[in-house]
Amino acid sequence: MRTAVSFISVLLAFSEVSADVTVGRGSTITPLTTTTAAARTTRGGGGTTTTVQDPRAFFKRHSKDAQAKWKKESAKLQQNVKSTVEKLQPPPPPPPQEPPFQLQDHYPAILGCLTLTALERGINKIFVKEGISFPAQLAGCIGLFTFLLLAEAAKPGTGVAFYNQLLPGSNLLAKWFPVLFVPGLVLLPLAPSIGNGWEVCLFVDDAMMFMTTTMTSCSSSSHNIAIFSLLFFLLFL
Amino acid sequence: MTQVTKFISVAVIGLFYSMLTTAYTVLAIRKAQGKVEPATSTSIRQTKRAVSRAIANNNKILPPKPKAYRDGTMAFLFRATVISGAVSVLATNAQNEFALPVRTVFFTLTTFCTYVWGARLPAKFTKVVHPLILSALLTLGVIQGTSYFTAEDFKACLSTYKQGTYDVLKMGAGDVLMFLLGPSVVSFAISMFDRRQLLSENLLVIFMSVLVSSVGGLFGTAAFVRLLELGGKLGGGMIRLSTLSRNVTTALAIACTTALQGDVSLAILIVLITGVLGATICRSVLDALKIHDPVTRGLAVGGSAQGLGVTSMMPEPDAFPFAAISMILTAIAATVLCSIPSIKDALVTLSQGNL
Repeated sequence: MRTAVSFISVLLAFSEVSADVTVGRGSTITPLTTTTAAARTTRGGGGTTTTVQDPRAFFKRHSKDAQAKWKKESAKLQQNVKSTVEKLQPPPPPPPQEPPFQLQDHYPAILGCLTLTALERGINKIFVKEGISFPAQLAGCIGLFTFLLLAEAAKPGTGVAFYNQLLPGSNLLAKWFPVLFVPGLVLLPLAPSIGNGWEVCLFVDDAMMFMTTTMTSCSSSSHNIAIFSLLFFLLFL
Repeated sequence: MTQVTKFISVAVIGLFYSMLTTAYTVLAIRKAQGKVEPATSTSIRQTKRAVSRAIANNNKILPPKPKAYRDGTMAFLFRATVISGAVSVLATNAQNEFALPVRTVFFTLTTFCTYVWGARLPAKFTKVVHPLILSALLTLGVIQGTSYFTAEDFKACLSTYKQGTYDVLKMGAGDVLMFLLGPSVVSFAISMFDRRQLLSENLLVIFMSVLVSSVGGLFGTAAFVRLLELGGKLGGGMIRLSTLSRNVTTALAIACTTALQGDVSLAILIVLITGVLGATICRSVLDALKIHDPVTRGLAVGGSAQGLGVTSMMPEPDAFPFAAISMILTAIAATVLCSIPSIKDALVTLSQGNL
């Protein structure tokens, strides 16, 4: 019974109950407040008292010292582990040497690019001649995909052979693909205005702040945001 | 509400709208097909994350990744840009008949050089300042400098960047780069053929997701910009039409906007804002909504946040191919829809006018 009463008094100490609670027959527990260091439990009739130490007070007293000690110990341990791992790990190999540029290595890519360009230009000429307003590049994409599927279905391996021929050219174009969008942004000062530079700067800054807080890898890049905002503002001047 | 607020809210709300409609459509179909795996508990996910983190830490022993573009490429582009810049300024000041083609070469090299320089900067910087933006700003700076040395007006100098012709002696740097966009779009067929098996295995789900993201994206955005009165009460025709292709990858957003007779620069701007935002928050939002099915995640992000969103899915190898397929097919579907006269007219009518 004494153990049970002690257990309940500890629980009550955590939940900050301020009213008197009767436990069992005639036994009462004095409410525990943050200021009382110990709780006295009086058993009705018997007159015996049990002292239960307030856990919060205990933690307050000991936590600072314990935490500091723990931090010190763990830092020491981490340092030991780190130095041991560094000793065991082989040094990282040097970055691979860039092979010298050889034009003949790029012939398949150039040929692939020229084939794709010829296809697009050919379709464009036909569309212009026939007065069709459909984008030639899209027609080329759908047409080439259909052709590859049909070739593969007609004779397995044919479609894959064509695909292998065009793949280096496709990879070369994919490597430089983002550069092709720069003109759109460069010509922004000639576009119809949607607001002045300050407004755009403010909103982009807010948007970037919001984004950056969610980016764990760049959580401390407020300096970059400032640079970005400045650059964006200059864009709209 | 200012026009800038409206413009950016179209990008932000549009992203959530496209992502959530696509995700829940795909999820409903996959649940009906019985293909959704039971949700893994938090502890299993945490273990998976810990394993991937351990793998990432292990990779630190490997040699550093080679930069996106070689040192030799950067050195060549820098030298060629400086030399062509000097020749261009001299030719313009001497009023030489070949001044325009030389300037085209100079501006083309400048665009490539600034992009390569931006792409080679540390990853932490390029995550915040995309090389595309940096390249555009530096190119504008170079154009400003050229206008100063040749005593020209800035806007007059800038207008020589894109002449709208493919005549070799008259074309600008922008025309050269736009010309190369054509074969790049044709090359999408190669990546689609590469993933043909994945396409055939999930045909219904992919078809429905593309339908929702393209039709929903175009018509939903058209209705929303009309509701917001973007561009003013009398109908900012060009501005409203420029926002419709916000979830279409940049290459085809240009074709889409050209078909709708919008402004290409504004279209690229909204696509870029959507992409950067999507790349940053899409995965967290899907996590918060407890959508863990890789097919659903891939299709939702690819259909709403296009190219940059697809790149952000790289840590999820099961979802990444679906994101790439969704991006390409959504772009193709949206551009085909914009090219059909009756649908184009319906979009123009829906986005214009007052409520």
